[in-house]
Amino acid sequence: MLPTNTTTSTTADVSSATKLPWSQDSYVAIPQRRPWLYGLVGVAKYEWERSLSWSRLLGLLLIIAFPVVLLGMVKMLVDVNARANADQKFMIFSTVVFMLIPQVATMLSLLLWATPAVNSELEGQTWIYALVRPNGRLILVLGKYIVAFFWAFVGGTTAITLLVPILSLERSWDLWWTTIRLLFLASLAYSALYILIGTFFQRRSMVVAFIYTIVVEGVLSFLPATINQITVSYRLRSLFIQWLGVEFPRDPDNPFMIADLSGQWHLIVGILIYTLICLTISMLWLRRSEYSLQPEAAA
Amino acid sequence: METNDNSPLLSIKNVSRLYGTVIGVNDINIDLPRGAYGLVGPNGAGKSTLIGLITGALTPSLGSIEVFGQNPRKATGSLHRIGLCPASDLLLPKVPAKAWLEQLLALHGWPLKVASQRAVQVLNWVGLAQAMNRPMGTYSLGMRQRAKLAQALSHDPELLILDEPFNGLDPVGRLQMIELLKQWVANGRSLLLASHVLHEVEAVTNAFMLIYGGRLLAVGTAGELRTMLADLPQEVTIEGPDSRAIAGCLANESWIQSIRVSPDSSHVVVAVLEPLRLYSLLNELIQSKHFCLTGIRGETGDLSALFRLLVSRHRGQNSLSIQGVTAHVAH
Repeated sequence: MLPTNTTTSTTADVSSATKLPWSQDSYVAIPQRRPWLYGLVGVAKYEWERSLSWSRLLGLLLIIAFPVVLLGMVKMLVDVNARANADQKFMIFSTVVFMLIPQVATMLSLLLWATPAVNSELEGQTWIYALVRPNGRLILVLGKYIVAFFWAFVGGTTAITLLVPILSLERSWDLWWTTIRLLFLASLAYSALYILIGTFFQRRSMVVAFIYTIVVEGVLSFLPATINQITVSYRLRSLFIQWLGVEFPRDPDNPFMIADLSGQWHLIVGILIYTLICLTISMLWLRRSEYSLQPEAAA
Repeated sequence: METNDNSPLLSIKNVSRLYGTVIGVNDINIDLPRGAYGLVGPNGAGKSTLIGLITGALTPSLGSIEVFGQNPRKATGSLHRIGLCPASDLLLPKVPAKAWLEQLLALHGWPLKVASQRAVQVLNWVGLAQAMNRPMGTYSLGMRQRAKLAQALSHDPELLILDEPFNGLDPVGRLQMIELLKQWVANGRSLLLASHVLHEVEAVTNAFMLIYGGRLLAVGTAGELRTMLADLPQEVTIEGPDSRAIAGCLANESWIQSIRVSPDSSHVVVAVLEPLRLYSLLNELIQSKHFCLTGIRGETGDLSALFRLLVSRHRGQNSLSIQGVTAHVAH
């Protein structure tokens, strides 16, 4: 019996080796030139195919229908009680469109698709397969980020496109183009935010993300204080007002509700930096986090 | 993806892993050259934790670990050289095996087209070619095991790590798995096969690591382990028409704990502290007194007995109680 802490040597008998498919001479190992790119493409394709299930498509349909139906009903009511002039109507509808599409619908969509990025793998007992691939966990989550962003953007774009003929406003296409740009930025930032929450809180991530959304993006962003500038909603709101060119005089007593309207780039860059920070922290956290193996009882 | 470097397969130095206050593995030291090894231990012994440490899924609380000369946690490129088939079941009911393998190959940096061809090749080899486009929810447990094995093999690793690969397999499936692993080893690849069933591991490799209670108790060959088992205190059943007479001859021996003769005198059950001495004495009795025996049956090779002996030795205990028989353990 060899004692513990001793080196042992056991070598397989190769003389009678049977050639397996991976050891045949015709097989050439694939060079790893752009592993991140191929990894991201592979994960995005896989997640895309998985997202084409009936349940997920139904979820997407509901997210598209929710702002369209709601705004359609508002339109009917406003038309019936039409005392407002065209500008006032545009102001009302564009504000509701902003609140519903780049904000609520996008957040809802990403709550469903981005937040469970890690949790769904843990529940499916497939996280371990990403862990044992070089940078697998990072590529997997980034791939899910891309797909979540895509679906949120597509959902929002479909909703606003359907709304243009329904609302039939004078500057409908201005509203469409503004919403598309805001959607793009909102999807980028909120995807990254929910991915970050999903990596930090591998269990009950959706509950945490929902509470965060209500408290920070809902309440905090409307607080008349400098702290509201850490929210995505504040920047989107300011961009919305700038891009649409609606009259929104800054309240001298309450200057914190929207950003200085003299420029847009600092707002856009702010959102992009926010996205980058969220994704970077997610990646760092993923790199150091561990697969939650069940503790095995020691004697 | 074979390499020519001479780094050892595995180098584990003073590795312990804690889960809070629970010890997963405790002070493990081992250096293994390339080859095939069985990691044998009962459920909860620490096999999966050790595998988690080897694959970089877990970080040691203490100590250091190297696979092919690299820390798998930091030098993640070394993971290209490892294929892992975990013990947990696969819960992807709507995903076909081929799509799953393509994604996992892409995570290794394979272009999609090549990954697709490779996935078909490997799934064909593990016998899933007909079912590769079917959702895995329609697979049997054995088919899911094969899909898991396919993903472990797909990127052409040098070291294959299998955690309880025989779970849920029927006898035919077990035989196929054993044949596949034999071929793997015969091709000069390295293997770490974790199981709680000794004979299944023995069918594939002759080198074992015994783990129990988070400790690596021993490393050796099957023969060495069986010798150790044979020397354990145990009950031996002696069958034959002269069993009662044999019982009489054994009664005065100090290393005999108890003797039970069956009512019909067809056999006698002897609790013996030193089985090897018993077998030697029986040989003498048969030759000198021409006793007729029809059979001798010892323990069935229960590993848990061996584990308990090794644990006692590890703890520095001088005596060991197995099935009511107390033995003094020599250091």
